[in-house]
Amino acid sequence: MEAEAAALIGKGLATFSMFGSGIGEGYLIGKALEAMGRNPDMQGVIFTRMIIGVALAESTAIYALVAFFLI
Amino acid sequence: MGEFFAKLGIIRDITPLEPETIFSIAGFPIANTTITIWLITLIFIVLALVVAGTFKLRPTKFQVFIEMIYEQVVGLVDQITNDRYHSKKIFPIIGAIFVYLVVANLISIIPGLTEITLNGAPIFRSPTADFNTTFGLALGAVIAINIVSIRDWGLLGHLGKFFRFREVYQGFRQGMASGFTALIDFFVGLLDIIGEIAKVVSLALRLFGNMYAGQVLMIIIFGALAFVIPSIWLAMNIFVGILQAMVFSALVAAYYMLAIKPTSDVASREDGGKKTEVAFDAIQEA
Amino acid sequence: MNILEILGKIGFDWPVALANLVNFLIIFVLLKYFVFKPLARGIEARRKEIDEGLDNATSARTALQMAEQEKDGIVMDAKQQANIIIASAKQRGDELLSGTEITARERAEALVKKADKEIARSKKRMESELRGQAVQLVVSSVESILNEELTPRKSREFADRALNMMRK
Repeated sequence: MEAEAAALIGKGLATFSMFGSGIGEGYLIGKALEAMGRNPDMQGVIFTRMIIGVALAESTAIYALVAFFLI
Repeated sequence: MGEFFAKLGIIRDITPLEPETIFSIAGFPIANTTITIWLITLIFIVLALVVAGTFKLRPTKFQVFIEMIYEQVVGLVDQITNDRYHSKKIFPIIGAIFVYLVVANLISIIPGLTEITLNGAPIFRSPTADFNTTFGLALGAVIAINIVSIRDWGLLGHLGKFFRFREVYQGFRQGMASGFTALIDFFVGLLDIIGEIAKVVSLALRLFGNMYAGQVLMIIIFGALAFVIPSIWLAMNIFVGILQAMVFSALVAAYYMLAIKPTSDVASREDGGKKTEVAFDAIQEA
Repeated sequence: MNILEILGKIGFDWPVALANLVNFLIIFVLLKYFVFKPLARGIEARRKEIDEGLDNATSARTALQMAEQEKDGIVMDAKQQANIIIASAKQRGDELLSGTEITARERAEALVKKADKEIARSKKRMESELRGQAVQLVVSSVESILNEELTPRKSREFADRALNMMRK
């Protein structure tokens, strides 16, 4: 019973990693938009790289999700 | 009121993490994801027949669509490698990974496909929502990249990336301070071995996590409200499916570029490109 | 807890992973040799075709331009030639015209001359005839008056005298 409770608490804690990925993604997209504003010619390239970067940042949250299922 | 809303939801069991084994051939288990890959193979056989059989110089609409996807993938690889030669060299594998992953990610969207069951287990399941598929793919990719690295640098050169004895020796010949820096580099090099394993695991987990989470969230949303809202999540799933396929293939291409020998002409060309870009910016600002 | 055990918790199973990888490799070979290669070849072929078509179009355009220039040149030549022909024809005509005029005048002159000659000749003949008749007349009248036959010497004397009188 206690072990199960601890597991549930652990699951809850694992979701906290979403904070980091949220902050990271926000920062990334903000910077990308800034870059696009400065250099609209490079919009396409920046957008593709931003998307890849966002996906990378999101993978942190995904690891947490996997951990969530593992616990 | 509460009862009414409860009726709007369709509550189902959350998909288990591991794929279900449908049957086994000589003790070799055939999971439902494997069967789905066979289905995808069938789709690609049809595609190959169509492409090889009906290619015309004056394209039909379908052919334009196929060619558009092809050009997109070529552009993606070009953007990552920044080099025509290498992008031509690795295009088949990167393109195959991309197309395969897109189809694999999106196949569970076909309505009713995942509802076909045998002995209570669904026969078809999105291959990438299974850790085995993604892990196998990532492992294969990283092993292939290591083989390419060995071919490019030679076996000793490749091992020298991880065991930096030569750098330590050269560092100590230069002096004490650079020697210790080289010693730290030596341990970092040892860590790169773990880095190779981490590459596999992170590639596999990222794809698997995204796809599996998409499916689980779909089921949860269905449980809460089975109308209207899931369609938004479905659209999101399509987007994420294509995006994750892109990320996976882009990362494999990037790992490849890191592994190969940086040729001098490529470096100079890149440098030249940067210089012209800077000059161009200066002109624009002025 | 080793890594395989942890991964096993999320459904990792060596045989399945291997099977899926092998299946992917099959798909890769399929895509590489039966989709990407024909596509690349086809697109390349089309690119070549388009390039050729564009080249052909440019060459056709230049050929057209050249043909047009040639046409212009021919027309100009033809015009010049026509002008020359017209000029020569005019000249010829003028020549012809003036030639006929001259010949006509010449002929007229010749005619006039001939006529003059004729007139002169007939006048002379008439004169000589007249003279002969006059001489005869004088001789016969003198014979009738004198009632004697004149000797040729005397008749000539009379004739001369009569002629001199007539001339006066």
